[in-house]
Amino acid sequence: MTSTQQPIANTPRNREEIEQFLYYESHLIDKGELEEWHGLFTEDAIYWVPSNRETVNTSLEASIIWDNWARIGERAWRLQSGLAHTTDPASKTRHMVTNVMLGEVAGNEITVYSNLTLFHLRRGEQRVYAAHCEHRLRVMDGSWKIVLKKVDLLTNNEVLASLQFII
Amino acid sequence: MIADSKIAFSDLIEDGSEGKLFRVHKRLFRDPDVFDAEMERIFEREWVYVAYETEVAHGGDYKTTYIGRQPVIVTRHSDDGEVHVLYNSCRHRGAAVCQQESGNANFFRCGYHGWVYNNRGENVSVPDKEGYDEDFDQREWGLIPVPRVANYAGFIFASLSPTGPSLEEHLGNARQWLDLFTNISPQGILVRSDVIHKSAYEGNWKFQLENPNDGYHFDTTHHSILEVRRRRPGGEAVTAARGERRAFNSRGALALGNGHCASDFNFDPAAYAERLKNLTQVFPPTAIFPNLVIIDVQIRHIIPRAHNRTDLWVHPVTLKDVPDVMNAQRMRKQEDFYGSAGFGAPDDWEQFERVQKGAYATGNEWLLYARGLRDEVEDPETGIRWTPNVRQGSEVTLRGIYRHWKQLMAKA
Repeated sequence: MTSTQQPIANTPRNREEIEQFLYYESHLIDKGELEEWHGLFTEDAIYWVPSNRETVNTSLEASIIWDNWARIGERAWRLQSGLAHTTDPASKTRHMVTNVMLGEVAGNEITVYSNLTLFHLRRGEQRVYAAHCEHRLRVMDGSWKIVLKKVDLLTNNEVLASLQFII
Repeated sequence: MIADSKIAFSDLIEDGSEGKLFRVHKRLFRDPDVFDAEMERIFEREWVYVAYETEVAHGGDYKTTYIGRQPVIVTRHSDDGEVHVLYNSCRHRGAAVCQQESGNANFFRCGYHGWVYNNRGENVSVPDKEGYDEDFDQREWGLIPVPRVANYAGFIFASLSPTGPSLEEHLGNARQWLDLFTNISPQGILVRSDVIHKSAYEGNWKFQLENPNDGYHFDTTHHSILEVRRRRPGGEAVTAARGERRAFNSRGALALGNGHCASDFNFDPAAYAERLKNLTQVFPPTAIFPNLVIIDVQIRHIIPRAHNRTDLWVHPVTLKDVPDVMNAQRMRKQEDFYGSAGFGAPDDWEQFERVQKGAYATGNEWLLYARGLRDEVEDPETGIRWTPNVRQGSEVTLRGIYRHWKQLMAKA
């Protein structure tokens, strides 16, 4: 990291802040506060879960999730609308965020890498998902917002059950 | 289910003759013996879909898949350029010789004792061959090709029976739907063996074969995505147009024969062609018995794993030589409804799992497939069956599936 990147990141205060932000995001998901969760994203944000491998050309390859800001909102709304049969009975999740590493800094944005262990419970069955996550965060009006959330599931090329919850 | 086993499989369908209803017995979904018989009499005998030709576009390309329960390798030979479908089982001790889902290789080497085969199955190496008797002829020990392989419009099918109807005869009326799907781009379509939405549900394979041509389920099962779409900008108009179309869409529910079916909403191929000029438009649901569905922007390969477990390999299809933005729109359409995190298909799988659960409840052993039964007519020229007067949700398509099933399952 060059010295010009120092102001935004790599200081003990930012590191703690960023970790707290990732935990807060998970907290909102697990508590089902999905409107607030949607509010963590910028209007140019992408929420991305690639299919088959970590890097795909999204113009020619479908992802498991490739949501812009509007669609993140639709996803959040649909899961709590009571209209989706996949939410009857409801899902519960617990997100464990670990191995947080600060990455590249560009302007007012920083990339953060973490590992995710996700427990999903529905209809008496608990499934476990592991993933590597990339968050690109932007400082806006003194607080962090998500510009990119990319989740690389360990099982992105496996036969998957329904993923009808926020990963 | 001892009492069950006294009934012939073909008697598990009441086909609506003699003024009766059209009903399907729950054993079709819950009974492992029925599943085993389906594997023997349908999947491991009749034509089944194995690959689209662009998945093995170049010499040396291969993919592995299943014909029924049996593992196979679909390869394109480096020299002859032909597609070969080989059993994925070494001639020595039977180990699967190829472990990857897809790739490019000139040889498959068995990891157990080191026998090596080229990609048209010929045995090219047996380590320490002198250990066999003098009359051991290596040339006789190649990977076994499946009895029949044929290609229609790029769709590669295989049959484990050396005799039977040709692929063209089997596809019959369904051929024009396969043509239509592959012709939506003048340069053809691209299906990749490494771009797949892979999903599974805990339920019988026939639920997925039925569902795309079950027009009756859509409004209830897919309430959530319909509401998401209504709330989008311009969504009210889309919803209204859909309501008008609903009024007559069952006229386009077609049983094409041999278990194939399609839902051509207007029963008018010319109108289709017009609609599909907008290449990002969806393709109407078409099912090729027993394991292929083409719908919207995708090719869906149904892989039955057990009576109560099915895998789906869904290939989103891109068009060759069109601007990226057009293919990107197709990919966004795919993600909108499909895949494990989509807003539509998982609601279908949820229903399949509920039907699977309900299939163990006795007292109501026969499931009803009677919508439009008395309205059904057959086109004398093509043999296509349809229901001219059913307003919504004709099940003529599904009866086509089960009539064919009944016929095949009667042959021991």
